[in-house]
Amino acid sequence: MGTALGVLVAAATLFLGSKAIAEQNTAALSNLQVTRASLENGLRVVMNQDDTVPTVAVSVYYDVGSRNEVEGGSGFAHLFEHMMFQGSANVGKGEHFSLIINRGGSANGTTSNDRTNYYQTLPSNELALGLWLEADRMRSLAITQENFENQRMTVMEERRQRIDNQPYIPSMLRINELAYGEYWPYAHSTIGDMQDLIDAPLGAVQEFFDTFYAPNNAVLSISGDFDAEDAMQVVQKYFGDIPARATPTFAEPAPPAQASERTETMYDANATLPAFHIAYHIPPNRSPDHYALEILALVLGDGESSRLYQSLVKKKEICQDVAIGTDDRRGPDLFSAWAVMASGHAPKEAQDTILAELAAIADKGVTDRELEKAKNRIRAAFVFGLQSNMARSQRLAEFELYWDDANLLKLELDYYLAVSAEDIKRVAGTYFEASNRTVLNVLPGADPASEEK
Amino acid sequence: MMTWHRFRLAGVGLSALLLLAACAGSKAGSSPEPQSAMSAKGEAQPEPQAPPAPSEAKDMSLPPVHVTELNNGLQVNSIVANQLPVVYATLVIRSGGESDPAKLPGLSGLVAQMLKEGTTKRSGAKVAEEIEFLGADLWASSDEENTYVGVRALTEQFDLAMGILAEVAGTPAFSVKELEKLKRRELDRLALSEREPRYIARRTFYRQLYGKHPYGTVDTDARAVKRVRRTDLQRWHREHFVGKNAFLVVAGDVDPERVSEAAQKTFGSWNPGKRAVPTYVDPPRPSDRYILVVDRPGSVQSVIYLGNLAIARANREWIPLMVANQVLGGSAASRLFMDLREKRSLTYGAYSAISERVDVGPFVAYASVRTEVTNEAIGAFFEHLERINQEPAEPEELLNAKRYLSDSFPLKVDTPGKLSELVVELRTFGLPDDYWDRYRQSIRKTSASEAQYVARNYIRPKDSLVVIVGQAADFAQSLQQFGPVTVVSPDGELKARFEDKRPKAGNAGAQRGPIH
Repeated sequence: MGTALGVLVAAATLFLGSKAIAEQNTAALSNLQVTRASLENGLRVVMNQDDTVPTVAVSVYYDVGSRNEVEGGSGFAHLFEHMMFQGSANVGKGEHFSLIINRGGSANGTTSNDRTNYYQTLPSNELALGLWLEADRMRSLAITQENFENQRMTVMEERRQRIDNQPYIPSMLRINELAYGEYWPYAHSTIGDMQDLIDAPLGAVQEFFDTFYAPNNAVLSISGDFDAEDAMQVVQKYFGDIPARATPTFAEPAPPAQASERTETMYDANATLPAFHIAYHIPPNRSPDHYALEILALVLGDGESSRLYQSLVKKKEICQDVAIGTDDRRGPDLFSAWAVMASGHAPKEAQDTILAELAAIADKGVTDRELEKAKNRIRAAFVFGLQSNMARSQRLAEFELYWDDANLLKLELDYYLAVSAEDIKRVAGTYFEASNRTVLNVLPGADPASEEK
Repeated sequence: MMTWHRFRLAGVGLSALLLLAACAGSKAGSSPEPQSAMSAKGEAQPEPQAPPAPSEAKDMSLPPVHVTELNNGLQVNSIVANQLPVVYATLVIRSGGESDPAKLPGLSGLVAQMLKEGTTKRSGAKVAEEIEFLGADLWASSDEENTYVGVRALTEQFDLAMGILAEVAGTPAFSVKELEKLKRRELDRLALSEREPRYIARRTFYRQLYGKHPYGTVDTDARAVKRVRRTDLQRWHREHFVGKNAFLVVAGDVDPERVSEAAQKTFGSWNPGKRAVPTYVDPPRPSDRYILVVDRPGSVQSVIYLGNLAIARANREWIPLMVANQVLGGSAASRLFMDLREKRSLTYGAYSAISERVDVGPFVAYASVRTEVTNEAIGAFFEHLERINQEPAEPEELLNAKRYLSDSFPLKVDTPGKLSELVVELRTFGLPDDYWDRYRQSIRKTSASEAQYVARNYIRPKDSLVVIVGQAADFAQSLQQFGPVTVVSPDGELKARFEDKRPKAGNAGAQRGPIH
């Protein structure tokens, strides 16, 4: 986190004040009411008041994701997330969901490479319930052999259903393994290897809880119709006496190294059409070049007027669909292309077009109109993306957790708007060498050499 | 920041793996004692605390809907919701799948898709470029009742966005070249969909439940796609995209007077035409159960759809039925989920729903279960359907159901986009103007006897249709215990029939087991 923050500060001095920025829509952002606080035990609290509708969203973000897993323990962060819904000192099994639903709310949790989050939206007069439930499981998880067996089986079933039995999804795991290689935190999947799930020991649950689920390793974020002072009293009451614990800092391995192009072909029995991934290593999210790379991705693949949708899907009709994007990880990131071919066409045809387009942008850049369009899209996406209490509570929590200050979200749009045509041309010329590239072709049908690894 | 660029491919799941949601099943277990509840010191366990009570509920009033009508009959609805500088405009054509010609199922959907592929003035690429340049989004789609063309934009772009909306909806080119391209994409999409068991289950269920009634078609098919011609699109468009068959809903940071002016400017020249009235062929009225298995060898799961024809959305019994359904299967706190998933661990999730339709809509219960437990799951579904059909809900269940449905309402109105949807619902189903103002009160007023009375009429396990897509060899024959079974291939070819072997005694339908 320290390194990333350093990068951020550099970005700020580089971009701010470079030119006047369209102000109209940044107003919606800078008008966000954000209050930050922290408890003595280190729990960081972000509050965003907005009384448009009488609801509140409560999110808790823990600074642990699949990147923190040890080799042989893949999938554990996500399995643990399931355990957080199995009850705590004052909440019975299954009651977490039913308490919230029966009072008019909704709840869930998710795990990614970089963090685990838990969230609920409730009528505003039920804020105390949401806070009490989150505090109860932060303090005292109910860990039993039976609940653990249940969830372990459930997650294995989830893996079979959502990944192994779905077209193209196994390739989404494989591309990360291939591209990240020795960089374990991102090379392995969040769902985890089946064998690791089978081997997961009960004792590891308590250990994981003790290691990562401390108040000082979490951010609590509340958005919606509530009073910040009243809310802080409730937060203090429920969370205040949860003891702080020492938590490990993430041991960042050496960044993924790649000396030459990697290519692989895999078969997918559930697929009907060939498809492919192309991935390039790029710096972490919110580093200066990342903003320019995101805009480059928009020019290439965002919307039906984008260069690649127009050429691959509409003009040449060789792809069924195409997507270009960055994954926005806290650590070393990927810039990826993903396409499903139209019937009768092979991946190579589309890959040549994509590489040629990247080369053309490195050579000639993007047009002023394309750049302005991308920026307009981002401006609108910021406004539309922060409409609901839930969206705001999550984005603010994420900024507080990753970048140490939720208020930075208010400035975030400025970094995108400051990207110049020259920046895009430069990054297009920097990151797309063949030696930085991983290509994974996906062919429909069974592997002709299925016993071969 | 990047969430928008994966939007188009969401169906293929590019982003699916970045996040894994918690909402997953748990196996049966009889209230185990926490073995290791405390993480820090070995303090004595305190008395369990009760969850905090709610504070006083805040009332919420909905913003008014301003309604005007253009000279050609097109109704304009606007709602001011100005917390952010955004606006949503949706043009609703009051004809959808219910107006597809019998030989061209899905025509309305193809018309909707072709609207974006070019107008008489310019190409689809140019239209997309302009709308995207504004930072706006444009979409076109259709469902059973309506065809929609919508745009969302920052308020400063409202006039431009309305102009594009009207251009796309009013003057499509329906170019032959673009149509041929769309046909190729549709054929690829259909081929991919037909690999998905849930798609097969849904298509089979609706076809069987509704027969030749238009709701029996859930998607176009390859034959219609190959057959459709430009003139079919033009004719459907000319007949249905007219003032009296359309309404506009605009919500956001807008002034209703300016909305009316903009609507007059952009849609005022449309022909009045006439309101299209669909003809609904009577759906079959079965008097007994029918179990239809679609054999999909190799499936590791059985996808189950189970239900019957129920009720039209505008029926006054809709709300009590929704309450009964909430007790049964409307959420993760309902009986189906708590039993099939939390207790018996048969599935990832089991739910039920009453679909909203102008004409008679279906009651549907559904789940995907491991192949080995298919019979157990069907038995469990029937137990719960019998119970909701026969017995009044427990007072606490009823209270919880009503509380969820009424108190979660603010979540349905928290953005201008969602407010628009409520207005579309009002107009589509012909609900009274103050419907949403009274909605929460109507839910709260539902009595146990009302909920049971409607459940008895509209949730009917004795004449349910059951569709199961899965590896038939593993379970089809033993489904006889629930009723007559027919096994077909995904193409509809008959593979086997098994006779009804329900226990005759008392004619109780499914075997009754303990209810937990």
